[in-house]
Amino acid sequence: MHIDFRARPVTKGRVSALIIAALLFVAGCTTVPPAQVTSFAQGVNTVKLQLDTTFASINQFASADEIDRAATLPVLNEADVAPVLERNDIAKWDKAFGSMDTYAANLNLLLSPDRANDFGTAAEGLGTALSKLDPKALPSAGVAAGFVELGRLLIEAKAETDAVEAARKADPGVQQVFSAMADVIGETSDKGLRGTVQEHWINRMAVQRQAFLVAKPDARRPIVAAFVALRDQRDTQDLQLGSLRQSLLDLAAAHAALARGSQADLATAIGRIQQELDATRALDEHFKSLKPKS
Amino acid sequence: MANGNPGVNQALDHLHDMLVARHKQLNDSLNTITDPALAQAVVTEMGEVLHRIDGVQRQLFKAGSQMITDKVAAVDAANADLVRSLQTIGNITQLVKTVSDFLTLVDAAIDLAKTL
Repeated sequence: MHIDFRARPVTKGRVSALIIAALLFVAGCTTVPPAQVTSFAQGVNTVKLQLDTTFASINQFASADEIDRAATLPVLNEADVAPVLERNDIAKWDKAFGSMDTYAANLNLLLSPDRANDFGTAAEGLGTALSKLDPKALPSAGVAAGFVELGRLLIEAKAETDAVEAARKADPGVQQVFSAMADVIGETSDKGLRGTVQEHWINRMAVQRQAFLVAKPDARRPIVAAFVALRDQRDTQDLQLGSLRQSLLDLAAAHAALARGSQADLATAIGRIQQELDATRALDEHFKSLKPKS
Repeated sequence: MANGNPGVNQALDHLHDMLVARHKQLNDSLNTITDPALAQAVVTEMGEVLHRIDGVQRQLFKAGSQMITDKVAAVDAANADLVRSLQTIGNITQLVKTVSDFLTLVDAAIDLAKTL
């Protein structure tokens, strides 16, 4: 059917109104494709994988230094060979990521029309649980404070029926959690976990410097080569940690994009996270190929 | 002392910074030491400082307390002496004593942090 808008201005106005009404209806019903929430949830899981890979790598190499020191002591105590990241500390990261995973699952409830009503109950339950988390069960006091804030915001958002709106309300808490997690890793090579790890490498390089002093001239070249290899390993591992820190910040950016309903920004942030994981795995392989001391 | 990171125990973060700085200072001393025995003593003491860096790392994100702040203040005072001593490392005995005295105070702070 052909409609001549120029000949029938009243009809043209009605059609425009119908189009606007339809757009408003669509916008009110759903403002987030399910894939966006799923993307964010996958991002959380990807960063957790990256974290597990990086932490395992750190513990493996740092333990060797503690063994060297313990071998010089008069008695052997468990405290002298404790890993840099103890089992209960790694469990704190598991707890934090598990809580964030549950939050993402709750957002998914809003995307299922028949289960949207469940969100209010789930949000209030999770919000209350997060508010009551033992700060000692989380990686840092900053992360704990972030979860308390997220819990408070989720309880506020329990009446929401739209995933973007719920994410927007919860976003300040999510930002606080991921920012505090990034702080634990260390902003520079001298701070936080990055600072601790770097000093391990400096210590190993110092051993080579001492060995150089006592070596005969023709035995010095292998020592210099070992020194250079340690320097490369130091830089590789710092890259790994820097990459993990960046992924945590990217996860915060991904959630902010979700809260804005920006599919492009979310896809960019999740893409960066996947690249960081790939880089971490490649660095891990490179690191192992450099034959760290056993 | 504060670094603006609210998630970190500020006193322990400062202690971590101090230990990292002394570890680097000991390493830098190897730029001029040519006596292998003295260099070995420096490397041994670096291992001891590194062990405490790990120890503080494990406690770094615990909640703050005045008692920890006081303990770290005591380390602060000893740190100033250690910085001066390490500028002119003369002999092994002096090196070991100076670093050991410093680390005794560090250990007290770490032990207290473990109880929080």
